[in-house]
Amino acid sequence: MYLSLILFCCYSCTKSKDVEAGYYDRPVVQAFLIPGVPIQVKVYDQKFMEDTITHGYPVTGLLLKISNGTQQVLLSETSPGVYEYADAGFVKDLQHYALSFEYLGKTITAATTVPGKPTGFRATSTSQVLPEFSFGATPADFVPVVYNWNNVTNEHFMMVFKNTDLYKTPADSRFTRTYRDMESILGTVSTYQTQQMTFNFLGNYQVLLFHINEEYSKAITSTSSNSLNLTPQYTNVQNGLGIFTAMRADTLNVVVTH
Amino acid sequence: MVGRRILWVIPLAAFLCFKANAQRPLTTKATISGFYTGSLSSMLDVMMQKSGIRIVYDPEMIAEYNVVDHYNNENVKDLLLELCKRNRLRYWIDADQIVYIIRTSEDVDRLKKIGRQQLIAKEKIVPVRPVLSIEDLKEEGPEKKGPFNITGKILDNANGESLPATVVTVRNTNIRTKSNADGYFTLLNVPSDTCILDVHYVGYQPEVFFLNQKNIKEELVIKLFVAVRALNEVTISDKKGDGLMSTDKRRVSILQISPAKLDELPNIGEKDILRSFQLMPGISGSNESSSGAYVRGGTPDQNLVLFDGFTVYQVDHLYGFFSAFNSNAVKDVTLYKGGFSAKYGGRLSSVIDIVGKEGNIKEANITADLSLLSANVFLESPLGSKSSLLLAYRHSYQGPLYDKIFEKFNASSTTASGSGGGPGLGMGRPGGGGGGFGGGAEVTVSTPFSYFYDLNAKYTYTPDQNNKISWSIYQGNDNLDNTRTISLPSSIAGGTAGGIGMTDKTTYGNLGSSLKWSTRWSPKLYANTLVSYSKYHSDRDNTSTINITDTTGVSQEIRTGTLEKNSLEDFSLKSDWEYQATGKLKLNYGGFASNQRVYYENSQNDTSKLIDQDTKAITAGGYVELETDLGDHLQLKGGLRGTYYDQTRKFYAEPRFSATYTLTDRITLKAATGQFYQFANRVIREDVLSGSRDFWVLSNNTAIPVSSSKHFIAGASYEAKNYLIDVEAYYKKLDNLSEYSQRMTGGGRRGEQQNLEEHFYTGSGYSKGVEVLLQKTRGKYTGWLSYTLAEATNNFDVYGGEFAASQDTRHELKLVNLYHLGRWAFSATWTFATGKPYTAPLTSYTVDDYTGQSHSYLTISDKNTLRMAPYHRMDVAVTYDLLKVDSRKTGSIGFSLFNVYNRSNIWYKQYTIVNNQVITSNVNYLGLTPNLTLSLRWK
Repeated sequence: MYLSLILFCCYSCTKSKDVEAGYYDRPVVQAFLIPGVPIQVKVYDQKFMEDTITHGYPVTGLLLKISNGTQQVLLSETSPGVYEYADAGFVKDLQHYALSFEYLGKTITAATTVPGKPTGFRATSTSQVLPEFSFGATPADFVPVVYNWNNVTNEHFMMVFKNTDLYKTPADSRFTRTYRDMESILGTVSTYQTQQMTFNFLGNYQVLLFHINEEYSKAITSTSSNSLNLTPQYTNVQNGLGIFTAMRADTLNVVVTH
Repeated sequence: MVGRRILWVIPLAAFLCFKANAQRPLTTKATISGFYTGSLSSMLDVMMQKSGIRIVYDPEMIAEYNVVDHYNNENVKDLLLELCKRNRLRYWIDADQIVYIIRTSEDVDRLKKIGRQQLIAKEKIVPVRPVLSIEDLKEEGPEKKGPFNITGKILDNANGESLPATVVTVRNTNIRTKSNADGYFTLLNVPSDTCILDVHYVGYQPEVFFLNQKNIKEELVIKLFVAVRALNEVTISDKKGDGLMSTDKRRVSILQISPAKLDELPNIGEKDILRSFQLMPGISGSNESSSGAYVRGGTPDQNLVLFDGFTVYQVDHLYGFFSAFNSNAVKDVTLYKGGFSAKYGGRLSSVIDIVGKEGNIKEANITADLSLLSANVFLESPLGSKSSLLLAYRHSYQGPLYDKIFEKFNASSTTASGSGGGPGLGMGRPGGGGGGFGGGAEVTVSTPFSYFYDLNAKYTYTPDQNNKISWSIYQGNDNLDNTRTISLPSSIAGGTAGGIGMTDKTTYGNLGSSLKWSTRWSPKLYANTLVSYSKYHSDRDNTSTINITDTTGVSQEIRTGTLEKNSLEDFSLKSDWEYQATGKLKLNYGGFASNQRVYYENSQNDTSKLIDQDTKAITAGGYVELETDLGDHLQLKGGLRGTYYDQTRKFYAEPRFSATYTLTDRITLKAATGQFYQFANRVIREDVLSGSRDFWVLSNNTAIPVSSSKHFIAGASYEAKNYLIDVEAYYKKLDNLSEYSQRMTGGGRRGEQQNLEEHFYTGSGYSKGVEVLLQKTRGKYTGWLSYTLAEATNNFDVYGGEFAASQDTRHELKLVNLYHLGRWAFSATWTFATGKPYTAPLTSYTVDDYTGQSHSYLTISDKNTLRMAPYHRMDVAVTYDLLKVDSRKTGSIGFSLFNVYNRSNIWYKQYTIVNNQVITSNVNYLGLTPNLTLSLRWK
C-alpha cells in the first residue's frame, strides 16, 4: 500500500518545455530622446546567464524608424548596434515619438512623449563648500545647496551633477576612483538638497534637472533577485526589453570648493 | 547562559523528585452498608461503584480471598484498610486518587498496565449492573423509566480542568452530545436512569459512567484520566478507532489535538501544536519556515487563530520556525479545515481554536522543560476554593539550535551584500551599506542579542456552579537582531577612529487579553460573553550608521536605510449562546463587534516618510445556527452569519451548511459548504532581506477588496476494529485575493533619495484536492498514513492569468509511526511533497542609464512555471518516561533527530550577478538537526 502510493507520488512534475520559448529573441533597446540632441538608439541581444560580457552582442542591420506622428525618419547604423538620426532638431518639446523595427519576424515598438521643460528651477547658492577633514581640527558644518522647482502635478524628476573641468580634482586625495556623473532619480518631489557625499570632486559642475517620464525610473530601478519574489523588470518596449524614453532638462551651475 | 539555566533546573528537579515520593491520603468520605458475601474482587467493585474511587487490582492475585461481612455505614477508607490487613495486602494511592491493591511496591508498575486493560474491558461488558447484595438492590428501588434530562460537567481528574469537546453518548442509543468550551453538557430525553454513558476525549482514557436514581437528579461530574501512553497521540476526534459507537463521526473537516502527548512526536526544539497538524492530510508539511497552517491550498493569513477567544495575529517565533503557543499552557486545539460553523468568520480558509488551561484547582504544581532552544516554566495553583491561576513562561536562549535557524535567514544576507559592490541588480536591500569594504577593513562583529519569549497567564474564578469568569493574557515577542558593526582601520577612516554600524533589527509580537464570562442560565441555555484586546506589532530597523570621530572626540553620524513600523490593534466584543431546544435540536447564536486599527509606516533615513497609513475599521454582525438530527442517521447543521464592514459600508452574508449521514455502524458520509469573507489581510514577504517579514492591512473600498471564498466538501469514513480510513474531497473558490508589492525607486547610490511605490494586485484563485487518511488506532504500534492530492491555482491579470500558487503542492505523503515499549516511546515520521513552484531567470541583459552607468537585469519565466525538486525528510524521536516509585510520570527525556538523512531541501534560489555572470545558489532548509528535551513535573 505504502509502496504503491510512493510510486504514485514519484511521477513528479517536470519542467514545462515551452516555458523558455519566446524569451531569448527579444532585443534590448536603449534610447534617451532629448530636444536639441541627435537621436541615438542602441540595440543589443540578451545575454546567457553564464556570459561574462557587460552588454549583450549588438544587433546589426536593423531598419529602425521613428515617427513623430507626422513625419517618419529612418535611423542609420553608425557603429554596430548603434542607430542614429543626425538632425538634432527632430526631437521637440511635448511631442510624441514612436519607434518601430522588425526583428526575427516580430515588430518591436516603443513610444514616448517629451516632457515639458522644468520651470522655476532655482538654487540657494551657486557655490558649494566641502568642509575638509584634518588632524586635530573640527570640520566645519556642511551647508547644503538647496534646489527647488515647480511640480504641482507630481511629475517625475531626475538630477544629474556633471563636472565640466577637463582635469578632475578629487575632493579627498584618498579618493582614487575615476570620475562619473552623479545621477539621482528623485521621484515626484520639488526640492533637492546636496549632501557631502554628492561631490567626490571639486570644480565646476553643471546641475541638470531632468523632467522625466515615470517609465524611466521604473525601467532603471532594480527588482529583487531571489526566486521567492522575482518579478519581471519593467520595460516600455513591446516585444522587447529595455527603455525608450524622452527627457527634458534645465541647467544651473555650481562651483565646488574646499 | 545555557549552563546557568541548566544548573538552575537540576537542583529544582532533584527537589521535586524527592518531594513527590510520599503517598497521598485517600480523601473519600463514602460509606458502605449491607451484607456482603462474595469474592474480594466483587467487593472491591462494589466499593468502586459506591465511592467513585478507582481501584486497580490483579484478579489473579486476590482470587483466593473472599468477603463475608455486614457493614453499617462503614467508611470506605477504613474498610479498604481492614480488607487489606486481613489478607496481608497493601494499597497505594497515587495523585489521581487511584488505589492500587499490591503486595510489594513493584506491583504498582504492573497494576498500572492492568488498570488500563480493565478500563477497556469494562467497555465490553454488557450494560448490566454488577450483582450486588440484596440490601443494595432494595435501596436502589425499581428502575425508573424516563425520559430524563441530565446535565453534567467533564473534568480532568488530575487537576480539575474542564474538558471541552468531549463526546458523551448514552450507550445503545443515538443520544449524544459534546461538552462545550467550559466542559458542560446536557443530554435530553435519556430513556432510563440505568443507562450508561460513554465518555471520550482525545488523549484521555475513555470513561464509562453509570447513571442511577440519585446521580441523575444533580449535576454529573465526570472525571477523566489522562491516557498513560495514549493510544492515539494525535487523533481525529470524529474517527476514534474504538470500534464503539462513542466516537463523534458527525463533524466535517475537523482535527483535534490534546497537547499532553505531543512530546512523543519528533520535533525541532519544541513540541509544537501547530506543527503537529502539519502531519495530517490537507495541511502542508513542507513549509519549514512557517509553522502557520497552509490548509487546503490556503495561506496562513487565511487561517483564523483564536486563543481563549481573542484573535492572534502573530502566530510564530523565529522567522516562523516555531509556533507562538506554549503547549504547556494549552488545553485543547481544534483545527477546522473548511466548511466551518457560522460561529467563526473573518477568514477564507480555516480556523484554529486554542483553549488555554485554567490551572489546577486541586493543588499547586510546577513543570519545567528545557530544550536546546528554550527554557519553559509552568506554574499552576488554586487560589482559595473558587479560583485558580496559571502562569507559563518560555524564553529562548541563543543555543546552537537557535543560532542555526537564525543564521539560515541571515547568512543569505551576507551572500547578497557580498556581490553588492557591482553596479546594477540591486538586491532589494534598502539602503544597505553592503559591499565596498574589502581590503583592509577589520570587521568586528558585535554579538547580536536575539531572543523570543512568550507568557501565558490565566485567572479563573468560579463563583458558583453556573458561572465562570476567566481572564487570560498572552504575550509573545521576538527580538531578532542582526546588527553588525564594522570598525574601520585608521587608514580608511582618515586617521580617525570610526565605524560603520549596520542595524538590522526586527521585533514583532502579539499581546492579547480576554475577559470571559460563561454562564448557564438554565440546563438548556448556556452563554459565553467575551471582551478582548489584541495588539500585533512588527517593526524593522534596517539602517546603516556611519560614525566618524576625529581626534578631538567630535563625532559625526550619518544614517541611511529603512525603518518600518506596523501595528494592528483589535478591540472586540462577542457573545455566543447555545440553546438545547430538544434532544435533537440545538440552536447556536451570537453577536460580535470589533474595532481594528492598522498603522503602517515606512520611512527612510529617520526623516522622510515614504508610507504613512493609519486605517480604522469597524466590523459588526451576528450569526445563527441550527443543529438537528433528522431520523437516526442524518445530522444537519445550517447557519447564517452576517457582517457589516464600515470601510466598504456593505453587509456581507455568509450561509454555512454541513451534514453527516451514518450509512452503517462503520461508514459515515459527510458534506459541507459555505461562504466566507476576509477583511484583514496579512502581507508576507518571504524574502526577509527586503523588509519586515509581514504586516497586516485592512481591506478598503479602493486597492484592497474584501476577499471571499466558497467551500465545497464531501467525504466518507470507514472504521474497522483497529483501523480507520477517512477520505475527503474539497473544492475552494477564492475571489478578490490581494497581492502586494513594493517597488523602491531611486536609492542604491549615495545621497540619492528614495521613493516607494505600493502596488496591490487583485486576482482570484481556486484549490481542489482529495485527502486520504489511513490510521492504525490500537496496539503497541500506532500511526497513520496521510496522503493529499491537491492543486492550488491563482489567477492575477498582472501575471498574465492563471498560474500555480506559490503554496501549490501536487502530492503530499506523510507517514507517522509510533511504537510504545514500556517506558520508551519511539516515533518516526516521513514527509514527501512535490516541489513548490517558483519563478526562474532565463537570461540577463544590461542597459545603461542616462549617465552611462550600466544596470543588469534578469528576464524571468512566467510566474511559478518551474518546480523545485521534491521535498522529503525523515524525523525520528525517542522518549523515555521518568517515573516515580508509584510509576506516575514525573517527566520525560526526549531525543529527536530532524531530517535524519540530511536531505538538502531547497527553500528558495538566490540569483546574484558576479562579473556579469548570473550565479544561482540554493538556499536550503534545515539539514540534520538533533535536539534534546528534558521535562520535569513537581507533582
